[in-house]
Amino acid sequence: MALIGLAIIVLFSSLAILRPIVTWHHPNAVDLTKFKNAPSLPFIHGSLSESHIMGTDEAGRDIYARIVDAGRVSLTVGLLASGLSAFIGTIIGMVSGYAGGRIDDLLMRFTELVMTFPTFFMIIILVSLLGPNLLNLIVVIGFFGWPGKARLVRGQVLSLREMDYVMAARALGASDRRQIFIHILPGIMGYVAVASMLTIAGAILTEAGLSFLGIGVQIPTPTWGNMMTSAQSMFILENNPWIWLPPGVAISLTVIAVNFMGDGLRDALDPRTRIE
Amino acid sequence: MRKYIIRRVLISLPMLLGISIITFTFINLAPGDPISAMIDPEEFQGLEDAQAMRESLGLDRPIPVRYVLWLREVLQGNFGYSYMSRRPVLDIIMDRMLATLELTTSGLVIATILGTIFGIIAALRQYSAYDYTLSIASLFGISIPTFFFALVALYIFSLKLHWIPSYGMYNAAEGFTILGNLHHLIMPAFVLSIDSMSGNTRYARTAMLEVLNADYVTTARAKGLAEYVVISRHAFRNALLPMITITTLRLPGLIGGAILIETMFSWPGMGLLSIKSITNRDYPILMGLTFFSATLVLYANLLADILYAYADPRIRVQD
Repeated sequence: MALIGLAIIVLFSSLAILRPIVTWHHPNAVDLTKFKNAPSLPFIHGSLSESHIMGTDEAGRDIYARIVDAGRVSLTVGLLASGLSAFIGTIIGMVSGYAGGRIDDLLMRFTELVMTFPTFFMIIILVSLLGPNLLNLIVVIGFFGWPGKARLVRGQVLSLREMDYVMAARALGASDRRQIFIHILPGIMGYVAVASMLTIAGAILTEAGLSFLGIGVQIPTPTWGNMMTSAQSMFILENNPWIWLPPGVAISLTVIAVNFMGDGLRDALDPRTRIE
Repeated sequence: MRKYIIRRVLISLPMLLGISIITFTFINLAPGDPISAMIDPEEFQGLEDAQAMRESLGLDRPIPVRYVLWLREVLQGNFGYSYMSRRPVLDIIMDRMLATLELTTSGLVIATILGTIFGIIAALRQYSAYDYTLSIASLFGISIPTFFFALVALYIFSLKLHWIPSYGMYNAAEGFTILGNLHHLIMPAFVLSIDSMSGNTRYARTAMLEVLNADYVTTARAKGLAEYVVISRHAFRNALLPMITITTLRLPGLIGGAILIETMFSWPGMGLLSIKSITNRDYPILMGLTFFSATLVLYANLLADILYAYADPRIRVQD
Protein backbone atom coordinates (compact mmCIF):
# COMPACT_ATOMS: atom_id res chain seq x y z
CA MET A 1 0.00 0.00 0.00
CA ALA A 2 2.71 2.42 1.03
CA LEU A 3 4.55 1.63 -2.20
CA ILE A 4 1.47 2.36 -4.31
CA GLY A 5 1.24 5.68 -2.48
CA LEU A 6 4.88 6.43 -3.15
CA ALA A 7 4.44 5.55 -6.83
CA ILE A 8 1.52 7.98 -7.20
CA ILE A 9 3.44 10.81 -5.51
CA VAL A 10 6.54 10.15 -7.63
CA LEU A 11 4.35 10.11 -10.75
CA PHE A 12 2.72 13.47 -9.95
CA SER A 13 6.01 15.10 -8.93
CA SER A 14 7.86 13.92 -12.03
CA LEU A 15 4.99 14.98 -14.30
CA ALA A 16 5.08 18.44 -12.72
CA ILE A 17 8.85 18.69 -13.18
CA LEU A 18 8.77 17.34 -16.73
CA ARG A 19 5.78 19.47 -17.72
CA PRO A 20 7.46 21.12 -20.76
CA ILE A 21 8.21 17.66 -22.18
CA VAL A 22 5.00 15.80 -21.38
CA THR A 23 2.54 18.53 -22.35
CA TRP A 24 2.23 20.51 -25.55
CA HIS A 25 0.28 23.53 -24.32
CA HIS A 26 1.24 26.20 -21.80
CA PRO A 27 -0.94 25.84 -18.67
CA ASN A 28 -1.81 29.56 -18.67
CA ALA A 29 -2.23 30.05 -22.42
CA VAL A 30 -5.68 31.53 -22.97
CA ASP A 31 -7.43 30.75 -26.25
CA LEU A 32 -10.95 32.13 -26.35
CA THR A 33 -11.71 30.39 -29.63
CA LYS A 34 -11.51 27.11 -27.70
CA PHE A 35 -13.99 27.99 -24.97
CA LYS A 36 -14.96 24.88 -22.92
CA ASN A 37 -14.04 22.36 -25.60
CA ALA A 38 -14.68 18.73 -24.78
CA PRO A 39 -11.66 16.40 -24.74
CA SER A 40 -10.22 15.66 -28.17
CA LEU A 41 -7.62 13.09 -29.14
CA PRO A 42 -4.45 13.99 -31.04
CA PHE A 43 -4.20 12.81 -34.69
CA ILE A 44 -7.82 11.66 -34.60
CA HIS A 45 -9.41 15.05 -33.95
CA GLY A 46 -6.73 17.13 -35.63
CA SER A 47 -3.03 17.71 -35.13
CA LEU A 48 -1.19 17.48 -31.81
CA SER A 49 -1.14 21.23 -31.16
CA GLU A 50 -4.87 21.53 -31.89
CA SER A 51 -5.97 18.71 -29.62
CA HIS A 52 -6.67 18.89 -25.89
CA ILE A 53 -6.82 15.38 -24.47
CA MET A 54 -8.64 16.54 -21.35
CA GLY A 55 -10.50 19.41 -23.02
CA THR A 56 -10.29 23.12 -22.26
CA ASP A 57 -11.72 25.25 -19.47
CA GLU A 58 -13.87 28.36 -19.60
CA ALA A 59 -10.91 30.47 -20.80
CA GLY A 60 -9.80 27.94 -23.40
CA ARG A 61 -6.80 26.78 -21.35
CA ASP A 62 -5.59 23.22 -21.75
CA ILE A 63 -6.82 21.21 -18.76
CA TYR A 64 -4.21 18.48 -19.07
CA ALA A 65 -1.34 21.01 -18.90
CA ARG A 66 -2.97 22.73 -15.91
CA ILE A 67 -3.53 19.45 -14.04
CA VAL A 68 0.10 18.50 -14.51
CA ASP A 69 1.34 21.93 -13.45
CA ALA A 70 -1.02 22.23 -10.46
CA GLY A 71 0.61 19.29 -8.70
CA ARG A 72 3.54 21.57 -7.84
CA VAL A 73 1.42 23.88 -5.69
CA SER A 74 -0.36 21.12 -3.77
CA LEU A 75 2.80 19.19 -3.01
CA THR A 76 4.74 22.35 -2.07
CA VAL A 77 2.04 23.56 0.30
CA GLY A 78 1.67 20.09 1.79
CA LEU A 79 5.37 19.56 2.42
CA LEU A 80 6.30 23.04 3.63
CA ALA A 81 3.21 23.67 5.80
CA SER A 82 3.59 20.27 7.41
CA GLY A 83 7.33 20.81 7.88
CA LEU A 84 6.69 24.18 9.52
CA SER A 85 4.13 22.73 11.91
CA ALA A 86 6.45 19.82 12.74
CA PHE A 87 9.21 22.33 13.52
CA ILE A 88 7.03 24.49 15.79
CA GLY A 89 5.40 21.45 17.39
CA THR A 90 8.72 19.74 18.13
CA ILE A 91 10.22 22.84 19.74
CA ILE A 92 7.17 23.58 21.90
CA GLY A 93 6.74 19.93 22.84
CA MET A 94 10.43 19.50 23.72
CA VAL A 95 10.58 22.65 25.82
CA SER A 96 7.33 21.77 27.54
CA GLY A 97 8.28 18.18 28.29
CA TYR A 98 11.87 18.85 29.25
CA ALA A 99 11.38 22.01 31.32
CA GLY A 100 8.24 20.82 33.10
CA GLY A 101 6.59 22.81 35.89
CA ARG A 102 5.26 26.30 35.21
CA ILE A 103 6.57 26.52 31.66
CA ASP A 104 4.99 23.18 30.82
CA ASP A 105 1.64 24.27 32.25
CA LEU A 106 1.67 27.55 30.35
CA LEU A 107 2.69 26.02 27.03
CA MET A 108 0.13 23.24 27.29
CA ARG A 109 -2.70 25.67 28.09
CA PHE A 110 -1.64 27.70 25.04
CA THR A 111 -1.62 24.53 22.94
CA GLU A 112 -5.14 23.66 24.06
CA LEU A 113 -6.17 27.21 23.25
CA VAL A 114 -4.94 26.94 19.67
CA MET A 115 -6.67 23.55 19.40
CA THR A 116 -10.07 25.01 20.28
CA PHE A 117 -9.99 27.37 17.32
CA PRO A 118 -12.04 26.15 14.39
CA THR A 119 -8.90 25.85 12.30
CA PHE A 120 -10.30 26.05 8.79
CA PHE A 121 -12.33 29.11 9.72
CA MET A 122 -9.29 30.91 11.21
CA ILE A 123 -7.18 29.96 8.21
CA ILE A 124 -9.80 31.39 5.85
CA ILE A 125 -9.93 34.66 7.79
CA LEU A 126 -6.17 35.03 8.11
CA VAL A 127 -5.30 34.07 4.55
CA SER A 128 -7.88 36.37 3.03
CA LEU A 129 -6.94 39.26 5.31
CA LEU A 130 -3.17 38.82 4.88
CA GLY A 131 -3.51 38.34 1.15
CA PRO A 132 -3.98 35.04 -0.62
CA ASN A 133 -0.56 33.98 -1.88
CA LEU A 134 1.47 30.81 -1.64
CA LEU A 135 3.72 31.99 1.20
CA ASN A 136 0.86 33.19 3.39
CA LEU A 137 -1.00 29.93 2.79
CA ILE A 138 1.98 27.87 3.88
CA VAL A 139 2.67 29.98 6.98
CA VAL A 140 -0.97 30.12 8.12
CA ILE A 141 -1.71 26.43 7.50
CA GLY A 142 1.56 25.49 9.21
CA PHE A 143 0.80 27.71 12.17
CA PHE A 144 -2.45 25.94 12.96
CA GLY A 145 -1.07 22.43 12.49
CA TRP A 146 1.37 22.18 15.37
CA PRO A 147 -0.71 21.59 18.55
CA GLY A 148 -1.23 17.86 17.99
CA LYS A 149 2.48 17.37 17.37
CA ALA A 150 3.48 19.44 20.39
CA ARG A 151 1.40 17.19 22.62
CA LEU A 152 2.78 14.07 21.01
CA VAL A 153 6.39 15.23 21.37
CA ARG A 154 5.81 16.33 24.96
CA GLY A 155 4.44 12.92 25.88
CA GLN A 156 7.39 11.17 24.27
CA VAL A 157 9.92 13.49 25.94
CA LEU A 158 8.30 12.84 29.32
CA SER A 159 8.67 9.09 28.93
CA LEU A 160 12.12 9.16 27.32
CA ARG A 161 13.44 11.48 29.99
CA GLU A 162 12.91 8.76 32.58
CA MET A 163 14.57 6.04 30.47
CA ASP A 164 17.65 4.45 31.98
CA TYR A 165 19.95 5.51 29.17
CA VAL A 166 18.99 9.16 29.58
CA MET A 167 19.39 8.86 33.36
CA ALA A 168 22.80 7.36 32.74
CA ALA A 169 23.77 10.24 30.47
CA ARG A 170 22.56 12.70 33.12
CA ALA A 171 24.49 10.86 35.84
CA LEU A 172 27.62 11.08 33.70
CA GLY A 173 27.17 14.85 33.69
CA ALA A 174 25.79 15.35 30.17
CA SER A 175 24.61 18.92 29.65
CA ASP A 176 20.93 19.66 29.00
CA ARG A 177 21.76 20.38 25.39
CA ARG A 178 23.55 17.07 24.97
CA GLN A 179 20.71 15.14 26.62
CA ILE A 180 18.15 16.81 24.39
CA PHE A 181 19.92 16.63 21.05
CA ILE A 182 21.91 13.39 21.36
CA HIS A 183 19.65 11.26 23.52
CA ILE A 184 16.05 12.43 23.34
CA LEU A 185 15.55 14.03 19.92
CA PRO A 186 16.50 10.96 17.84
CA GLY A 187 14.00 8.91 19.83
CA ILE A 188 11.05 11.12 18.92
CA MET A 189 11.83 11.85 15.27
CA GLY A 190 9.99 8.72 14.12
CA TYR A 191 6.77 9.82 15.79
CA VAL A 192 7.11 13.32 14.37
CA ALA A 193 7.65 11.86 10.89
CA VAL A 194 4.46 9.79 11.07
CA ALA A 195 2.40 12.70 12.43
CA SER A 196 3.84 14.95 9.70
CA MET A 197 2.87 12.56 6.90
CA LEU A 198 -0.71 12.74 8.13
CA THR A 199 -0.67 16.54 8.30
CA ILE A 200 0.67 16.76 4.75
CA ALA A 201 -2.66 15.25 3.72
CA GLY A 202 -4.54 17.78 5.84
CA ALA A 203 -2.53 20.71 4.46
CA ILE A 204 -3.16 19.63 0.84
CA LEU A 205 -6.90 19.37 1.56
CA THR A 206 -6.95 22.78 3.27
CA GLU A 207 -5.14 24.45 0.36
CA ALA A 208 -7.54 22.80 -2.09
CA GLY A 209 -10.57 23.95 -0.09
CA LEU A 210 -9.32 27.53 0.14
CA SER A 211 -8.41 27.69 -3.55
CA PHE A 212 -11.79 26.21 -4.42
CA LEU A 213 -13.50 29.00 -2.46
CA GLY A 214 -11.36 31.49 -4.40
CA ILE A 215 -9.36 32.64 -1.38
CA GLY A 216 -6.32 30.43 -1.85
CA VAL A 217 -3.77 30.55 -4.64
CA GLN A 218 -5.08 32.95 -7.28
CA ILE A 219 -5.52 32.32 -10.99
CA PRO A 220 -3.80 32.22 -13.47
CA THR A 221 -1.53 29.97 -11.35
CA PRO A 222 -3.33 26.63 -11.60
CA THR A 223 -4.04 24.58 -8.51
CA TRP A 224 -6.34 21.58 -8.36
CA GLY A 225 -8.61 23.52 -6.02
CA ASN A 226 -8.99 26.69 -8.07
CA MET A 227 -9.49 24.67 -11.28
CA MET A 228 -12.73 23.46 -9.69
CA THR A 229 -13.98 26.91 -8.64
CA SER A 230 -15.98 27.34 -11.83
CA ALA A 231 -18.01 24.23 -10.96
CA GLN A 232 -19.76 26.34 -8.32
CA SER A 233 -21.86 27.39 -11.30
CA MET A 234 -24.57 24.78 -11.78
CA PHE A 235 -24.32 25.22 -15.55
CA ILE A 236 -20.66 24.18 -15.70
CA LEU A 237 -21.22 21.47 -13.10
CA GLU A 238 -23.96 19.93 -15.23
CA ASN A 239 -22.63 20.41 -18.75
CA ASN A 240 -18.83 20.42 -18.52
CA PRO A 241 -17.78 17.65 -16.14
CA TRP A 242 -14.36 17.42 -17.82
CA ILE A 243 -13.54 20.78 -16.24
CA TRP A 244 -14.06 19.78 -12.59
CA LEU A 245 -13.76 16.01 -12.52
CA PRO A 246 -10.02 15.56 -13.34
CA PRO A 247 -8.69 18.03 -10.72
CA GLY A 248 -10.97 16.44 -8.11
CA VAL A 249 -9.62 13.00 -8.96
CA ALA A 250 -6.05 14.33 -8.91
CA ILE A 251 -6.39 15.80 -5.39
CA SER A 252 -8.10 12.66 -4.15
CA LEU A 253 -5.40 10.37 -5.56
CA THR A 254 -2.65 12.51 -4.08
CA VAL A 255 -4.17 12.63 -0.61
CA ILE A 256 -4.97 8.90 -0.70
CA ALA A 257 -1.34 8.28 -1.67
CA VAL A 258 -0.02 10.43 1.17
CA ASN A 259 -2.30 8.67 3.66
CA PHE A 260 -1.18 5.25 2.37
CA MET A 261 2.42 6.33 2.95
CA GLY A 262 1.57 7.68 6.40
CA ASP A 263 -0.09 4.42 7.43
CA GLY A 264 2.85 2.43 6.04
CA LEU A 265 5.38 4.60 7.84
CA ARG A 266 3.46 4.24 11.10
CA ASP A 267 3.36 0.47 10.83
CA ALA A 268 7.07 0.38 10.00
CA LEU A 269 8.12 2.66 12.86
CA ASP A 270 5.67 1.59 15.52
CA PRO A 271 5.58 -2.20 15.88
CA ARG A 272 2.75 -1.97 18.42
CA THR A 273 0.19 -1.39 15.66
CA ARG A 274 1.21 -4.67 14.02
CA ILE A 275 0.23 -6.97 16.89
CA GLU A 276 -2.39 -9.70 16.54
CA MET B 1 -16.48 14.80 40.83
CA ARG B 2 -17.98 18.21 41.67
CA LYS B 3 -14.54 19.59 42.43
CA TYR B 4 -13.32 18.29 39.07
CA ILE B 5 -16.15 20.02 37.22
CA ILE B 6 -15.71 23.31 39.09
CA ARG B 7 -11.98 23.31 38.37
CA ARG B 8 -12.54 22.62 34.68
CA VAL B 9 -15.14 25.41 34.41
CA LEU B 10 -12.79 27.86 36.15
CA ILE B 11 -9.92 26.98 33.79
CA SER B 12 -12.19 27.68 30.83
CA LEU B 13 -12.61 31.34 31.79
CA PRO B 14 -9.01 32.48 31.18
CA MET B 15 -9.09 30.33 28.03
CA LEU B 16 -12.06 32.36 26.77
CA LEU B 17 -10.14 35.55 27.45
CA GLY B 18 -7.16 34.10 25.56
CA ILE B 19 -9.38 33.19 22.61
CA SER B 20 -10.75 36.72 22.44
CA ILE B 21 -7.30 38.34 22.66
CA ILE B 22 -5.83 36.17 19.91
CA THR B 23 -8.79 36.68 17.59
CA PHE B 24 -8.93 40.40 18.18
CA THR B 25 -5.23 40.87 17.52
CA PHE B 26 -5.19 38.73 14.37
CA ILE B 27 -8.22 40.32 12.84
CA ASN B 28 -7.17 43.87 13.60
CA LEU B 29 -3.53 43.49 12.59
CA ALA B 30 -4.53 42.22 9.18
CA PRO B 31 -3.99 44.66 6.33
CA GLY B 32 -7.02 45.91 4.44
CA ASP B 33 -9.37 48.55 5.61
CA PRO B 34 -13.12 48.34 6.19
CA ILE B 35 -13.48 52.05 5.38
CA SER B 36 -12.27 51.60 1.81
CA ALA B 37 -14.57 48.61 1.44
CA MET B 38 -17.51 50.71 2.66
CA ILE B 39 -17.11 53.86 0.62
CA ASP B 40 -18.96 53.93 -2.64
CA PRO B 41 -16.40 55.21 -5.18
CA GLU B 42 -19.07 57.27 -6.93
CA GLU B 43 -19.90 59.18 -3.76
CA PHE B 44 -16.34 59.57 -2.52
CA GLN B 45 -16.09 62.90 -0.69
CA GLY B 46 -12.35 63.09 -0.13
CA LEU B 47 -9.95 61.86 2.53
CA GLU B 48 -11.44 64.02 5.31
CA ASP B 49 -14.66 62.12 4.92
CA ALA B 50 -12.93 58.76 5.23
CA GLN B 51 -11.10 60.02 8.32
CA ALA B 52 -14.40 61.12 9.89
CA MET B 53 -15.87 57.68 9.26
CA ARG B 54 -12.80 56.03 10.74
CA GLU B 55 -13.15 58.15 13.90
CA SER B 56 -16.87 57.51 14.19
CA LEU B 57 -16.19 53.76 14.14
CA GLY B 58 -13.33 54.15 16.63
CA LEU B 59 -10.83 52.69 14.16
CA ASP B 60 -8.28 55.47 14.80
CA ARG B 61 -7.51 54.27 18.33
CA PRO B 62 -4.69 51.86 19.21
CA ILE B 63 -5.55 48.14 19.20
CA PRO B 64 -5.23 47.50 22.98
CA VAL B 65 -7.65 50.36 23.68
CA ARG B 66 -10.09 49.01 21.11
CA TYR B 67 -9.82 45.56 22.67
CA VAL B 68 -10.66 46.82 26.16
CA LEU B 69 -13.59 48.83 24.81
CA TRP B 70 -14.82 45.78 22.88
CA LEU B 71 -14.48 43.51 25.90
CA ARG B 72 -16.38 45.95 28.14
CA GLU B 73 -19.31 45.94 25.70
CA VAL B 74 -19.17 42.15 25.25
CA LEU B 75 -19.48 41.65 29.00
CA GLN B 76 -22.72 43.63 28.78
CA GLY B 77 -23.94 41.40 25.97
CA ASN B 78 -23.18 43.84 23.16
CA PHE B 79 -21.02 42.38 20.40
CA GLY B 80 -21.04 45.59 18.41
CA TYR B 81 -22.64 46.49 15.11
CA SER B 82 -21.97 45.26 11.63
CA TYR B 83 -19.99 47.83 9.63
CA MET B 84 -22.16 47.04 6.61
CA SER B 85 -25.75 46.70 7.77
CA ARG B 86 -25.38 48.54 11.12
CA ARG B 87 -27.44 45.77 12.75
CA PRO B 88 -26.24 44.32 16.09
CA VAL B 89 -23.73 41.49 15.54
CA LEU B 90 -25.54 39.28 18.04
CA ASP B 91 -28.82 39.54 16.08
CA ILE B 92 -27.12 38.75 12.78
CA ILE B 93 -25.32 35.72 14.20
CA MET B 94 -28.42 34.44 16.00
CA ASP B 95 -30.33 34.59 12.70
CA ARG B 96 -27.74 32.25 11.18
CA MET B 97 -26.87 30.12 14.18
CA LEU B 98 -29.87 27.78 13.96
CA ALA B 99 -29.17 26.83 10.34
CA THR B 100 -25.54 26.00 11.13
CA LEU B 101 -26.45 24.09 14.27
CA GLU B 102 -28.99 22.03 12.34
CA LEU B 103 -26.41 21.17 9.67
CA THR B 104 -23.46 20.43 11.96
CA THR B 105 -25.48 18.53 14.56
CA SER B 106 -27.00 16.31 11.89
CA GLY B 107 -23.54 15.76 10.41
CA LEU B 108 -22.10 14.94 13.83
CA VAL B 109 -24.89 12.50 14.68
CA ILE B 110 -24.60 10.68 11.33
CA ALA B 111 -20.80 10.56 11.63
CA THR B 112 -20.82 9.28 15.21
CA ILE B 113 -23.47 6.60 14.86
CA LEU B 114 -22.49 5.21 11.46
CA GLY B 115 -18.75 5.60 12.15
CA THR B 116 -18.97 3.68 15.42
CA ILE B 117 -21.08 0.92 13.88
CA PHE B 118 -18.75 0.54 10.88
CA GLY B 119 -15.66 0.52 13.08
CA ILE B 120 -17.05 -2.14 15.39
CA ILE B 121 -18.16 -4.35 12.48
CA ALA B 122 -14.65 -4.05 11.01
CA ALA B 123 -13.03 -4.96 14.33
CA LEU B 124 -15.32 -7.93 15.03
CA ARG B 125 -14.62 -9.32 11.56
CA GLN B 126 -10.95 -8.43 11.49
CA TYR B 127 -9.18 -9.32 8.20
CA SER B 128 -12.51 -10.27 6.59
CA ALA B 129 -13.83 -8.80 3.36
CA TYR B 130 -15.97 -6.39 5.46
CA ASP B 131 -12.88 -5.20 7.28
CA TYR B 132 -10.88 -4.56 4.10
CA THR B 133 -13.79 -2.85 2.36
CA LEU B 134 -14.48 -0.58 5.34
CA SER B 135 -10.78 0.20 5.82
CA ILE B 136 -10.33 1.20 2.19
CA ALA B 137 -13.63 3.11 2.14
CA SER B 138 -12.73 5.04 5.28
CA LEU B 139 -9.28 5.88 3.92
CA PHE B 140 -10.95 7.24 0.79
CA GLY B 141 -13.41 9.10 3.01
CA ILE B 142 -10.72 11.01 4.87
CA SER B 143 -8.71 11.62 1.68
CA ILE B 144 -11.26 12.88 -0.82
CA PRO B 145 -12.01 16.59 -0.32
CA THR B 146 -15.44 17.43 1.07
CA PHE B 147 -16.13 19.87 -1.74
CA PHE B 148 -15.40 17.21 -4.36
CA PHE B 149 -17.90 14.87 -2.68
CA ALA B 150 -20.34 17.77 -2.68
CA LEU B 151 -19.85 18.45 -6.40
CA VAL B 152 -20.32 14.79 -7.28
CA ALA B 153 -23.41 14.53 -5.04
CA LEU B 154 -24.91 17.68 -6.59
CA TYR B 155 -24.13 16.39 -10.08
CA ILE B 156 -25.71 12.99 -9.53
CA PHE B 157 -28.62 13.61 -7.16
CA SER B 158 -29.65 17.15 -8.07
CA LEU B 159 -28.71 17.69 -11.69
CA LYS B 160 -29.03 14.21 -13.20
CA LEU B 161 -31.59 12.40 -11.04
CA HIS B 162 -33.46 15.51 -9.80
CA TRP B 163 -34.10 13.78 -6.46
CA ILE B 164 -32.79 16.42 -4.12
CA PRO B 165 -32.84 20.21 -4.45
CA SER B 166 -29.43 21.78 -4.91
CA TYR B 167 -29.71 24.85 -2.70
CA GLY B 168 -31.39 26.47 0.29
CA MET B 169 -33.00 25.17 3.47
CA TYR B 170 -36.56 24.75 2.21
CA ASN B 171 -38.61 25.37 -0.88
CA ALA B 172 -39.29 29.11 -0.97
CA ALA B 173 -42.53 28.64 -2.91
CA GLU B 174 -43.97 26.14 -0.43
CA GLY B 175 -42.68 27.95 2.65
CA PHE B 176 -41.04 26.22 5.59
CA THR B 177 -42.20 22.66 6.24
CA ILE B 178 -40.37 20.08 8.32
CA LEU B 179 -40.46 17.55 5.51
CA GLY B 180 -39.21 20.10 2.98
CA ASN B 181 -36.44 21.09 5.37
CA LEU B 182 -35.30 17.48 5.85
CA HIS B 183 -35.37 16.96 2.10
CA HIS B 184 -32.95 19.89 1.72
CA LEU B 185 -30.87 18.86 4.75
CA ILE B 186 -30.08 15.25 3.93
CA MET B 187 -27.50 15.75 1.19
CA PRO B 188 -25.40 18.55 2.74
CA ALA B 189 -25.50 16.85 6.17
CA PHE B 190 -24.40 13.53 4.74
CA VAL B 191 -21.62 15.03 2.63
CA LEU B 192 -20.44 17.04 5.65
CA SER B 193 -20.34 13.88 7.77
CA ILE B 194 -18.25 11.73 5.38
CA ASP B 195 -14.86 12.98 6.60
CA SER B 196 -15.70 12.59 10.31
CA MET B 197 -17.52 9.32 9.75
CA SER B 198 -14.48 7.80 8.06
CA GLY B 199 -12.18 9.04 10.80
CA ASN B 200 -14.55 7.63 13.43
CA THR B 201 -14.62 4.27 11.65
CA ARG B 202 -10.83 4.07 11.88
CA TYR B 203 -10.82 5.08 15.55
CA ALA B 204 -13.67 2.81 16.57
CA ARG B 205 -11.97 -0.13 14.85
CA THR B 206 -8.71 0.47 16.74
CA ALA B 207 -10.50 1.07 20.05
CA MET B 208 -12.57 -2.10 19.68
CA LEU B 209 -9.53 -4.19 18.71
CA GLU B 210 -7.64 -2.91 21.73
CA VAL B 211 -10.52 -3.80 24.04
CA LEU B 212 -10.99 -7.24 22.47
CA ASN B 213 -7.38 -8.03 23.36
CA ALA B 214 -7.75 -6.85 26.96
CA ASP B 215 -7.46 -9.31 29.82
CA TYR B 216 -10.98 -8.72 31.13
CA VAL B 217 -12.46 -9.79 27.79
CA THR B 218 -10.39 -12.96 27.90
CA THR B 219 -11.64 -13.48 31.47
CA ALA B 220 -15.23 -12.96 30.39
CA ARG B 221 -14.81 -15.51 27.62
CA ALA B 222 -13.05 -17.92 30.00
CA LYS B 223 -16.03 -17.70 32.35
CA GLY B 224 -18.03 -19.17 29.51
CA LEU B 225 -20.18 -16.10 28.77
CA ALA B 226 -22.02 -16.10 25.47
CA GLU B 227 -20.08 -14.24 22.79
CA TYR B 228 -22.77 -11.57 22.35
CA VAL B 229 -22.71 -10.84 26.10
CA VAL B 230 -18.93 -10.51 25.99
CA ILE B 231 -19.16 -8.15 23.05
CA SER B 232 -22.09 -6.02 24.20
CA ARG B 233 -21.45 -5.86 27.98
CA HIS B 234 -17.70 -6.07 28.27
CA ALA B 235 -16.14 -4.94 25.03
CA PHE B 236 -18.57 -2.50 23.44
CA ARG B 237 -18.97 -0.24 26.47
CA ASN B 238 -15.26 0.19 26.95
CA ALA B 239 -14.66 0.77 23.26
CA LEU B 240 -17.16 3.66 23.41
CA LEU B 241 -15.05 5.58 25.95
CA PRO B 242 -12.47 6.98 23.51
CA MET B 243 -15.31 7.78 21.09
CA ILE B 244 -16.55 10.47 23.52
CA THR B 245 -13.32 12.42 23.15
CA ILE B 246 -13.06 11.79 19.41
CA THR B 247 -16.58 13.11 18.85
CA THR B 248 -15.81 16.50 20.36
CA LEU B 249 -12.44 16.68 18.63
CA ARG B 250 -14.44 16.47 15.39
CA LEU B 251 -16.26 19.75 16.11
CA PRO B 252 -13.67 22.25 14.82
CA GLY B 253 -13.38 20.21 11.62
CA LEU B 254 -17.15 20.10 11.18
CA ILE B 255 -17.44 23.86 11.63
CA GLY B 256 -14.73 24.29 8.99
CA GLY B 257 -16.42 21.81 6.67
CA ALA B 258 -19.71 23.64 7.18
CA ILE B 259 -18.19 26.77 5.61
CA LEU B 260 -17.57 24.87 2.36
CA ILE B 261 -20.84 22.98 2.47
CA GLU B 262 -22.92 26.08 3.24
CA THR B 263 -21.29 27.95 0.37
CA MET B 264 -21.91 25.12 -2.10
CA PHE B 265 -25.46 24.33 -1.06
CA SER B 266 -26.43 27.98 -0.33
CA TRP B 267 -27.29 26.93 3.21
CA PRO B 268 -27.97 30.23 5.01
CA GLY B 269 -25.77 29.65 8.07
CA MET B 270 -22.74 31.15 9.79
CA GLY B 271 -20.35 29.77 7.16
CA LEU B 272 -22.00 31.66 4.35
CA LEU B 273 -22.09 34.74 6.60
CA SER B 274 -18.36 34.44 7.32
CA ILE B 275 -17.43 34.35 3.62
CA LYS B 276 -19.55 37.45 3.01
CA SER B 277 -18.03 39.24 6.03
CA ILE B 278 -14.51 38.44 4.87
CA THR B 279 -15.17 40.02 1.47
CA ASN B 280 -16.57 43.12 3.21
CA ARG B 281 -13.90 43.14 5.95
CA ASP B 282 -16.73 43.37 8.46
CA TYR B 283 -14.50 42.98 11.56
CA PRO B 284 -17.23 43.02 14.27
CA ILE B 285 -19.03 40.09 12.61
CA LEU B 286 -15.81 38.14 12.06
CA MET B 287 -14.86 38.70 15.71
CA GLY B 288 -18.30 37.56 16.82
CA LEU B 289 -18.24 34.45 14.60
CA THR B 290 -14.77 33.36 15.69
CA PHE B 291 -15.55 34.02 19.32
CA PHE B 292 -18.80 32.07 19.14
CA SER B 293 -17.37 29.06 17.37
CA ALA B 294 -14.28 28.87 19.58
CA THR B 295 -16.48 29.15 22.67
CA LEU B 296 -18.71 26.40 21.31
CA VAL B 297 -15.69 24.12 20.82
CA LEU B 298 -14.25 25.00 24.23
CA TYR B 299 -17.43 24.11 26.07
CA ALA B 300 -18.02 21.00 23.96
CA ASN B 301 -14.57 19.84 25.07
CA LEU B 302 -15.45 20.61 28.67
CA LEU B 303 -18.67 18.63 28.33
CA ALA B 304 -16.72 15.73 26.84
CA ASP B 305 -14.24 15.73 29.73
CA ILE B 306 -17.08 15.68 32.25
CA LEU B 307 -18.91 12.91 30.37
CA TYR B 308 -15.67 10.98 30.18
CA ALA B 309 -15.08 11.30 33.91
CA TYR B 310 -18.65 10.22 34.47
CA ALA B 311 -18.31 7.20 32.18
CA ASP B 312 -14.85 6.13 33.33
CA PRO B 313 -14.60 5.63 37.10
CA ARG B 314 -10.78 5.52 36.91
CA ILE B 315 -10.67 9.27 36.28
CA ARG B 316 -13.05 10.08 39.11
CA VAL B 317 -10.92 8.13 41.55
CA GLN B 318 -7.75 9.99 40.59
CA ASP B 319 -9.27 13.26 41.71
